[in-house]
Amino acid sequence: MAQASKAILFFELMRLDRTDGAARDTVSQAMRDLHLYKESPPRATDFVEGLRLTPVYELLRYFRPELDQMSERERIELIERTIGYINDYLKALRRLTAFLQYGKTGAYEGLPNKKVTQASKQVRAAEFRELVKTERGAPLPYAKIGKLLGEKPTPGQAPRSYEGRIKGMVEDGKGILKQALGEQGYRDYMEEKRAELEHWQTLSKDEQGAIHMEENFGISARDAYEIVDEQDYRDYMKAKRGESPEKS
Amino acid sequence: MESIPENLEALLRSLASDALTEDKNSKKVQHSSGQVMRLLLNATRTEQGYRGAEVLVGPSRPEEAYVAALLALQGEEMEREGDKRTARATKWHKQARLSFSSNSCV
Repeated sequence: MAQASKAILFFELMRLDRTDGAARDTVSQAMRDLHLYKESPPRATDFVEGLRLTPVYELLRYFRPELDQMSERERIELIERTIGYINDYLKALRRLTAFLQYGKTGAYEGLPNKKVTQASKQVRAAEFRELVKTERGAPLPYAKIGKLLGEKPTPGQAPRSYEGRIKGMVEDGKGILKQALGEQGYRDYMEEKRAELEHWQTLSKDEQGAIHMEENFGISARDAYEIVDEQDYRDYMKAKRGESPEKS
Repeated sequence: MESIPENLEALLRSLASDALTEDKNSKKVQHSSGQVMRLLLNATRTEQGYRGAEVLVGPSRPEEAYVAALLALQGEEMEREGDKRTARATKWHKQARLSFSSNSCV
């Protein structure tokens, strides 16, 4: 979950279109005055966290067109308070929608106490076991799958017991996939993934990199060389959507 | 009650159909606890090179949007009997605490 104070700091810097020390000091001082500032090491995802505030800012600006003219402190306080209301609203909305979907009348709140948290890992475990092979062409051992998933043995857990646990995850993952796709659908899915994996291994590193770029950023590697600043990127995305580029 | 303009009705209809549509890359699965999971096929490219599936637990954004829009446009707050009982119990509890604390001061 994104940290609100960090998101506010980076959103404000982006809004000002400045990242220099002076701008940073002004924003962080306003946040310090509001007891919102917490010194923490910079991370590559900081700007992305700032972008998450765009809808909050849009909503505030819709109802308060004077938002940009407010003092730094006033705006930050409003954004921070709005985040609190949004958190409460989203929690209530999720609980209501979940109850509408599968809630029961008898139980406490009508929703299961234990949330499903392992399903994603179980599906990945099943895919690893079915698709990835060792150098000798055997299915990936359970201990190796566990390591790839970041599943650690419990203190003092014997290797056999640990492998048993991962095997259980593989079986549960297969169960989820089969429930969704049916037996035949499951076999077809794995067949398709095996072909995809084989094809991937025939590609060069550059070709693989280009595919990653297209999938993660929506930009082809050739176009990426032509995008040098934010304006270029905005124009590129507009052109992709079939709109006319902005005049600068 | 305020009537809903035609374009908002259309918004609701489109949200409802989006929320109910299952495309070929998204499948609903029900966990034994009853929780609904969405299996997204070809969701993320793994380090190994194939595009793996991902599981999301809980309602989807279009489903939440439909619930939020419908309630914002047509929902009404209502008094529930259960809420009345809770409010009455809270009131008695407060009064009892007040009288207990004033007695103990004497």
